Amino acid sequence: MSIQIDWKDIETQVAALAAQILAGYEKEALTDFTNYRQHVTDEAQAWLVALAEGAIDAKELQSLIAGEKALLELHALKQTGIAKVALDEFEDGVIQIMFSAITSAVKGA
Amino acid sequence: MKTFSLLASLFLFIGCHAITDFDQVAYTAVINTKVDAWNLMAKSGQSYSSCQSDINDFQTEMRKAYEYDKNRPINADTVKQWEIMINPQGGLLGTYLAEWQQEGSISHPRYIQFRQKQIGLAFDEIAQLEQHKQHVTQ
Repeated sequence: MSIQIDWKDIETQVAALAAQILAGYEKEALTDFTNYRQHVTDEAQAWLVALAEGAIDAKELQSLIAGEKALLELHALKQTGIAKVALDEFEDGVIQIMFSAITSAVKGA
Repeated sequence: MKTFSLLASLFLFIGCHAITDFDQVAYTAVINTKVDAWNLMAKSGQSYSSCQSDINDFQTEMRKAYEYDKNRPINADTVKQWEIMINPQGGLLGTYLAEWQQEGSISHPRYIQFRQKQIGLAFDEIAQLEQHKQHVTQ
């Protein structure tokens, strides 16, 4: 008794899964980055106005800039984590596809 | 035999995730800490010594949230986020509390507002990463 696994079908399904997960991740990352860029521009402008008005001092401006750098680090860490979630989703999907294909092949033998 | 090997390999892969699952306790702790931080920062126009008790309580709660995340497996990105947040040289809340302590009080209300917004967004980054971990469990 031999089993026939449809590797071509598995390949097609895995490629489709990768494209779907990657597209979702890419879209979300781009939207997130656009929002962040807008935030930085708006904030920097507001800080400079406040500095000119004497509502904050130069030392506080420095702290705000350092804080923004730290915020960017947290943002990058979030993106790294989200990429790992996408990787896990892909891995789970591949397992599902393989498992279904093998189960079908065994049943058909 | 080959089929069994394939199935065994698949089962070995299951559970080998790159990041931990979503945790409601951790998520709630981030949100609570964000709100508490906001409220504490609103008091930073007052003297540090007069708010010492509130500051100590807050730092204990924040430490608990950090320790909880630190002891979850494969959670390095969130732990790094917390470490930047807490560190007095990290640029965020730890730095703000150190400034408050050094200055005695924060004299410019606009600075307090800018920092509340910035640090609030930093907490959102931690919360959003936790939210995304829900995908793993689905």
